[in-house]
Amino acid sequence: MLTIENLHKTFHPDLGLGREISAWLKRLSGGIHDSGGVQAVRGVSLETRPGEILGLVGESGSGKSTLGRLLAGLYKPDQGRVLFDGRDLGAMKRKERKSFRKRVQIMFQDPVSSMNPRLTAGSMIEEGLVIHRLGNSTERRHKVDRLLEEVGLPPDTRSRYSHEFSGGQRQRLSLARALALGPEILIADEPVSALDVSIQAQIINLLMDLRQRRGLTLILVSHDLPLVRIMADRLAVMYGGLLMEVVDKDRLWQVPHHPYVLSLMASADRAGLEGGRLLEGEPPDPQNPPPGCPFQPRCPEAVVLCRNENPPLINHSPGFSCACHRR
Amino acid sequence: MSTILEIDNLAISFNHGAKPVVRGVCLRLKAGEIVGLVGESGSGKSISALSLMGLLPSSARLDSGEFHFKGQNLNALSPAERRRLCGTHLGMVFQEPLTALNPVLTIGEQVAEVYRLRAGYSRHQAWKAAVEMLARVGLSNPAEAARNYPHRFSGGMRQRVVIAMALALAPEVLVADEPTTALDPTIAAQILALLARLTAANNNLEKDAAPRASEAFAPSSRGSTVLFITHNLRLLTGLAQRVLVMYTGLVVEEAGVPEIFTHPAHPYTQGLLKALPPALSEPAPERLKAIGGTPPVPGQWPPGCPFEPRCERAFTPCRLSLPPLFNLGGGHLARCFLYSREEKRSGRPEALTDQPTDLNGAKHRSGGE
Repeated sequence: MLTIENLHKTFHPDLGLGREISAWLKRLSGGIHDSGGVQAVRGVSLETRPGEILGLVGESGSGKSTLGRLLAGLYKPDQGRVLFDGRDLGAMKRKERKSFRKRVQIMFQDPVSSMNPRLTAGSMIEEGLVIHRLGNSTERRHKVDRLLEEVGLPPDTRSRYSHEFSGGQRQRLSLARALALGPEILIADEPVSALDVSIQAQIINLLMDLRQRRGLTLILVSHDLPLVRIMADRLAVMYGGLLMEVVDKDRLWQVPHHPYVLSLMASADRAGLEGGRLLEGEPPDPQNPPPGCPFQPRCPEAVVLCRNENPPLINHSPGFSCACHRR
Repeated sequence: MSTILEIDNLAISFNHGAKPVVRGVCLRLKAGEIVGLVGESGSGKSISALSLMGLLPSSARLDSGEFHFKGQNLNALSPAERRRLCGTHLGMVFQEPLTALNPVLTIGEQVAEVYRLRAGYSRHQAWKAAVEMLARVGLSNPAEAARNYPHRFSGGMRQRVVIAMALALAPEVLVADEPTTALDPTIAAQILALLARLTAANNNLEKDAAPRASEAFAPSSRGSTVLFITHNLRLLTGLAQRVLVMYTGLVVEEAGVPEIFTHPAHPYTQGLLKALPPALSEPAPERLKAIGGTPPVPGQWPPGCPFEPRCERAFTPCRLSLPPLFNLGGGHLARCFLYSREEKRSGRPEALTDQPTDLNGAKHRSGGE
């Protein structure tokens, strides 16, 4: 089980000069070159439930992908902790981290850039098994064959290179790679957004089947609300680096949603055109977030309090938490 | 309403004819209509639009195809005349706004250029018109924005600029190639609303409900004519009056907008609608119904129906020859042997009667909850 407590992550653009020169420049100029950084995640607390599909929903710049990578241990948080079965990820020793990596896996949005073009599909899937010294070469070969079959790729694809695969097949391959070590938690970052409609449903159904068969906990990062609604048991909606709302799927039509979530729903259904809540303006600049609630500049319900104070995420009722002064 | 734009028997190929990507597309736009052109990547929808604008890449070859704009044959025009017509009377909004804008010119210069070159405005007049146009597409502080460079703008703002350029001279026909695909949902909704408003504003459009199937060919309004290209069929709900579905360079179905959602005829269209996550206002299915397999590699089309390898309802004739477009009445066409008369008489499935009239067990509603 993954728990995160008050997670913060800020990226400091390094002016393309590398980290050391940028730090030196910054010291030299007395902070003039320090823009304050891109505040991607600004204090998020969340807990996964075993076996659930948690949908992490947000628009670009909301911090959802950064949060996914923090959960996978790919970034070090600036503040806050990621706990896996009660153990702090930041305090883990080398050996423990290695076992964490085996149990928590991530698959990336863009299967092209996340694959080594010089490795065959087979060796790509096998890589993790080799690193973790699982089985001898014959056992590993059998394991790769089983994985290929599990994700619906023909066995002869093991000797092919990633460029020989179609988009949907590549996503299947990246799924096989993520499953090789038998993870308990799988983080999928926009797994179908690069795929054509007729292929999307294949990958979605495959993910749902695998989750069922393997008892996986799946964290699904996506901007597509109608899609997440179908797959997820629980939705966590992010905006401006913060959680706006966390809601169980079966409570979706029974709760007073966060104003941002209402707007997102209206946009997704194109009700915005028919006089629904069409949002004006743009998401906040992550280098310079607005004071108070990040949604306040676009919110039709904002009051003075919203500008002065950032509303905390409050549990209103079972299966519904919301960060809004007006709820 | 009169036909404003006509594309006849359009065929385009790559590699000197070795790789056909568009295979005989016919398209008619009536004045004031919004028509959707739907297809997945490789279906030939974007390249068809580019050929209309005379923007085919040099690697592509126009094998056949006649373009008629208001009765004028575009093929007979000189390249210069064609270019003039395409900026003025036919406008295009591109999918990726950043590559459609020049990074070393301010957006004001780029919008003003349209007025100077096409409408003969003076520098000063053109700049004033550009700022006005930027205000119309909803840029806050347009005078300030006009002096900035494209990289300073977010994706949604850039798309507004591209729309401003396309609509600057109030073209009679607007081709919008996936104008919202690169955008976030709340921004995409803004852009769709903007497009709907601006194309309607060119002539005072009465905002009507989408026409019934029987009137599918009678446009409901007198707004500018729009060819809206998208991979997402659902986007066209309540926006377009008519839809053409493309697959492997062919039009496989053509129907009015409520009709295509309530009575999709081609198995591919039916599959697409079941594979898409339904709108939030509709009940969520347990799981989506995927279309098995993958589309054929562009240019390597099977001899029969291109959808046959993936089709659950395929039968012998589908493998042997390419079905023509069968007329189902009321302007509804489908390229599928299920609708051929002879097949029906020999006791083949009467497709229209066992069509799923409702999708995913829910009656389709367009719009809100």
